[in-house]
Amino acid sequence: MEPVIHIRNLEKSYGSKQVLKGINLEVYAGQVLGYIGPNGAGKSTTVKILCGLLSDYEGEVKVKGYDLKTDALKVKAMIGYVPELAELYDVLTPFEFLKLMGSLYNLDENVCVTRIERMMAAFGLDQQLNQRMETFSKGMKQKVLIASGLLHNPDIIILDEPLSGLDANSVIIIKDLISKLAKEGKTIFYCSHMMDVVEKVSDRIILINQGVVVADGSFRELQQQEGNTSLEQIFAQFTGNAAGVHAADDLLRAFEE
Amino acid sequence: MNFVNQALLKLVLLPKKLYSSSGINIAQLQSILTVKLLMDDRRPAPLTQNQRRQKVKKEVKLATLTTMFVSAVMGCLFLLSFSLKTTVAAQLTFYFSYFIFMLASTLISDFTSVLIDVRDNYIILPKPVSDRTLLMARLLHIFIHICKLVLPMLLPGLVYMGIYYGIEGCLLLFFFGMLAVLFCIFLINAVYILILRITTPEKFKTIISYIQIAFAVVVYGSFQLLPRVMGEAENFDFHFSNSNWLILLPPYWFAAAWSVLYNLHGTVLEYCAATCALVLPFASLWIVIRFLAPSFNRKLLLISNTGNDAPVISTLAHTAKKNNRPTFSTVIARLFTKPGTERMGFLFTWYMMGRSRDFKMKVYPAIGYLLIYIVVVFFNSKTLSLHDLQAQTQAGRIIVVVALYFGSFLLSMAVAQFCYSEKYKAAWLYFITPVAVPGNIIYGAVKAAITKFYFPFILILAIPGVALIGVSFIPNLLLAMVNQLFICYFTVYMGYKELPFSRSQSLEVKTGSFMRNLFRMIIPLTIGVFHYFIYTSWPLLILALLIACAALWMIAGSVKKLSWTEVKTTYTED
Repeated sequence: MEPVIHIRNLEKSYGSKQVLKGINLEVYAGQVLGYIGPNGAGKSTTVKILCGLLSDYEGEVKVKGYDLKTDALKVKAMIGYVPELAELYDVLTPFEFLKLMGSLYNLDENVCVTRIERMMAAFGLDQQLNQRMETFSKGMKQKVLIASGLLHNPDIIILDEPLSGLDANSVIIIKDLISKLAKEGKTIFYCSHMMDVVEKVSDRIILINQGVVVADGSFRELQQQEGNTSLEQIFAQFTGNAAGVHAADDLLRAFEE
Repeated sequence: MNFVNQALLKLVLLPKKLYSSSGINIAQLQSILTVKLLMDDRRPAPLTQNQRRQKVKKEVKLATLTTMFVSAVMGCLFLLSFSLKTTVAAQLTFYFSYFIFMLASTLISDFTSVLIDVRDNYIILPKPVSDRTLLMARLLHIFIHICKLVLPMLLPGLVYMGIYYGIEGCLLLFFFGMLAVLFCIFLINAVYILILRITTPEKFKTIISYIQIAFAVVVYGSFQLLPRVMGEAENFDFHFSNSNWLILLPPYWFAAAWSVLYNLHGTVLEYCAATCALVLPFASLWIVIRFLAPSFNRKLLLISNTGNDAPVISTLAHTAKKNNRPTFSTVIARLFTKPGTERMGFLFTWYMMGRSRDFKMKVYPAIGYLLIYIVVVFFNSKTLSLHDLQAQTQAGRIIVVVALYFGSFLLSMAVAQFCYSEKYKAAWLYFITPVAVPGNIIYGAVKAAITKFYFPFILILAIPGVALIGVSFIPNLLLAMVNQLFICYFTVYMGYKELPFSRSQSLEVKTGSFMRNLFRMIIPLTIGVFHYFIYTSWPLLILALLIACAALWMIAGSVKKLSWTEVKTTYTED
């Protein structure tokens, strides 16, 4: 089977600081990929490259056989991106914003309007469809962002911390949505810090640390490798958080006279 | 912290015994005030904030000194009123008018942006700080802030008074200046309460920004027009001798009070006014403390709280019909644009131009300045008559051409601004979507700017133009219009190859702006001069119109085709 996402020797530097040091990755259709790593490991950078936000990288990124460097538009059309609590033009209403997104994805206007109405109704935002987003809470904005990523029915969905700001009910909806989308053959690239969620939703976990992949496999495989532990502990072992073990003690010691 | 803040801080902390005896924690008071003053110093001054280009990531350090300097310059400008050849009471009326106006309009924005900080709620309130300490810290902060504004503003006037009227005149001015400050605080409280009565807290900030725009325009206008009016006013009676309505003007109270106490005599009217000056500020202060302040503080918190959490669900139930019903903007978009990215660029820019406070704050004052400038120009050309316009004399032609090409500045202002936004980070959406030709979006955006800012102007010109001058006005109007549209697209093509609302204003680098501005001035000027020479010749006009149309068609087409490699906008990472 041909991989949907194919990343080979991906490198990226900011000035003299190398953030990605040769990422190799193949993702297949229907997979829910949990992409985890500590702060500054290069998660967001990988995601931004994959969505076409950053184009000055080294190495090869192919999506369904199209090279991201040469066929950027075709790749972008296949990807839906839900950024983490991104800035929005919040003087627009969700309806206006989503229509803007739809037309940028070259969606037919009528199809777009129907989808917007259905999606917003599903999220319980149908009353706010024509209200400016300035007054929206974090969770409401996040729902609009999720809708904007799914609007054009993409084959690949990249979620960057999609649950931030959402209440428990919405979290259930999104988790359910992820597994249903995967069953329909969509590929999901799930980026998060919340280990318990990643553990549950993803059927393959990639752990990166300091710009390289350090672990790759299903949760069960990782558990077998590392002994029967939680993803949190596996994470700590792989990211070499030896110093972190004492951090709590050190913090307590700060009170000593 | 600079020496001014340090000195003022030491000053307000002097009565330590008094504070501690009334249950105020001095250590907390001092640290709250120190941090507040430190933050004031790092906040860009309101008057420099709106300037178009700031140096890249320049740290603001001495904002206080800048603000004080600007206030002092303002204070010098107030001295203009002493150049009036009239009684000192009349001069002082003008002086106090300026003073009260400036102070009130500065404070009106400061109250929300500087003095009441929402973050207090998260940072100070959860700490064991007593209400009294916090209230005292707020009051002292307001006091220091007003001192920093008022003292430099009054200083030039005090020096002038000291020279011409001796130390008594100087002290009296200071005393009544302080009373005027009290009165201003009352005014602002009243305005806030009034605005909150008639509107919702969400709209409050918008209204405040409109007041700021109006204020900027009035200040510019008064400094442009006042000297001219004064030149005219030499044969005008400024003695106010028997105009009883003067008692309604607060600035007159203070002026009359000064004059009564300085000369120790006056008219009945002056005595009345002086009484007002001495009594009303204290009365208003009492009203503020007794009635306004409690609800005022509560409401201010309401204002600052909106937009953070607690989404407001509108009572207007959404219906599916509403989305399909054509609105004004969509009708216009259908008229002027092709479907797809161009129409979306148009609609997006149209909405944003109408709603973004940031955009309005930059473009509307500029439009106001232009209007005032037009008034000034016409003020100077008093000799113009209707005959000049109809007979197309030299003077008439010049005026018409100038009026026709004025819109060009209006348009270039809007076009130069629409790529900027506070929300520039939201421009990620251009980069993740498969946009093949970004030029289409820019083309739509420019069309929106033209439709919103230029077409109304042309309409306003066309109706009286045709009515006064006749049919011969039409080809001239058309030529001027096509020329300006060409200039507009040309500047976009040469300079602002930017996607709408995608750039941060503060990150803008200064290079090339001078040349660009020069260019922006020279092109319409040259074309205008050329137009002036062919103004009366129909064949030449029509020929020029044809050429201009062809040029417009070509340049607009080039803008439409701008590719990703040509467009300057790049993804801004946080």
